[in-house]
Amino acid sequence: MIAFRSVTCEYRALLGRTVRAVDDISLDIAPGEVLGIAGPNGAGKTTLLAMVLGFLRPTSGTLRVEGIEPRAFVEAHGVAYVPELMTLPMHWTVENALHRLATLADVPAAALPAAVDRVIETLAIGEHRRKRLKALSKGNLQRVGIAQALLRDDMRLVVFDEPTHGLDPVWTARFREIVAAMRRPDRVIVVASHNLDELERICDRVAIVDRGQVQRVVTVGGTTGAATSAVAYRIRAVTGDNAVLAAFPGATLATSGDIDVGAVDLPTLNAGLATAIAGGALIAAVFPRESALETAFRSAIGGGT
Amino acid sequence: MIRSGMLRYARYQAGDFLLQKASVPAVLALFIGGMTVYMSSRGLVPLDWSTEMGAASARAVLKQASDLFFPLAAFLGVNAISSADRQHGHVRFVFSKPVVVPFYYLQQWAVYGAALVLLGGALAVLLQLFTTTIPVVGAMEAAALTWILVGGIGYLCSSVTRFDGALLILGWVVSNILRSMASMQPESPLPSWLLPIVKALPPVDRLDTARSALYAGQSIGSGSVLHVVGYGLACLALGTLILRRRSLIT
Repeated sequence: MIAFRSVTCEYRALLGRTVRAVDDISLDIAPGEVLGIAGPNGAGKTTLLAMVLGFLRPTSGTLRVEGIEPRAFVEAHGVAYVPELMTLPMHWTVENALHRLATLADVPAAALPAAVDRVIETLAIGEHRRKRLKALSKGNLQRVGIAQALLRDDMRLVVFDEPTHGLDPVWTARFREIVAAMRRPDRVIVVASHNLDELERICDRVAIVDRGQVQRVVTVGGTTGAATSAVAYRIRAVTGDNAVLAAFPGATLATSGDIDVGAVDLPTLNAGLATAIAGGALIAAVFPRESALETAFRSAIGGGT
Repeated sequence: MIRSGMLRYARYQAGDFLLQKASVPAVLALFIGGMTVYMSSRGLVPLDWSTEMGAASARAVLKQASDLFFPLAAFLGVNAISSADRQHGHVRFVFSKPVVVPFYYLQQWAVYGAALVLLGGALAVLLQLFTTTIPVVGAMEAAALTWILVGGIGYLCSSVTRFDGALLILGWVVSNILRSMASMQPESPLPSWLLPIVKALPPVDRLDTARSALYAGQSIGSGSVLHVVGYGLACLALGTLILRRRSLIT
């Protein structure tokens, strides 16, 4: 559905130097997929999304959405898009903003009031519908941003840029449910976020972007990649610390009974545990110190965020 | 493809123009026109609207009010017509919908222009109600010519830069000065090499002449109309081409 082929995007300041925000990216996103984009600040995530939406054209390379240029795709079909910042005119009321955007989204006139009511109910912003946007808190503003993206439920491309920015934990969880409900075989959902935990919960794959390049694409969700992904673990042993330390070369004693093991895949972990137990260790718990995605992220961007 | 939603959005664009752009100039124009009518009704100014002198005075009031209202409302209407959306990030919401960028702004331009002409006509009718017969249609034609030229140039400037308002004012003032100098008799003080460049500047002098004639109820030369309309529409077309090709965010 979305195909990047050696895509590069450069910004040229009028008198300054050229900045390469996206550098030679090739990537395919299939229909039905939820793709996450993770990366540190300035990595090129927003530029990548801006190109998918046709706001920017690649300096070189080709980018196609369903075989056509992104701008042509958006003009023909529209995109359910939640930008990182709510940049609507702040004197608009919530209801007015949603009516205007529903009109532009080509929601039929007869269905428009119901569509607006539906998203207001979904995002629970009914009590704010007559308030001006400038009177809303950051979280409520973000919910309006999500609401306007849901005005039409037939969009084949959905793009979220830091969608849970400003949302409280309840609405962050609710957002995950919304994304899960939006999954469709003919729909692509792209989510850019700093929140790796969130991406791990809602995405099928996550592209880790840094310095304008896709450093790694990690499969997350389900158990497909779990067996082969190397993850760092903490092992809690009631007795037999030394047996655990001996079974995992490089392991360190964090606190009494807690042993930190470096990144290992599941077969290695199980083999080590079997050795430790055979050596007299009594294991109480094993849990990942960080997710496979976090490990991959740190490795891909060289440890810093 | 033009969608029905886009066409339905015209009512929001018309509302934006009337409330946010034209309201202040309209109040000023009403104040100017209303002052004369009020003073006349109170006998502070000895005016009998039924006489030829009264009719001339009514046309003079129309000219005063319109000369303020049309250029100011046109300038405020077209100022930042597309650049503000890019600068403030509104484009991210508007153009993620199935909306064709140049069509959105062309429709906005057309709606603003139509609203200006209708509002100009309404103000002229209002003045006519309290005075005597004045060239209402002429006032509407003057509004249309003003919008086409000011709006066309402003639309082009806004498609290029966010400093479009300053650029429009600068271009207008420079053109006014140079065109006045170029038309001086018996000989222009401008160097001969500058004259072809001056000819390419906005025909502000022709617009002023045409507007004065229209307020007086006189006919205007087709040459002036063609020059003003052609110049404005050429700028509009160029601005549309630029909007089609340029990035929506910077």
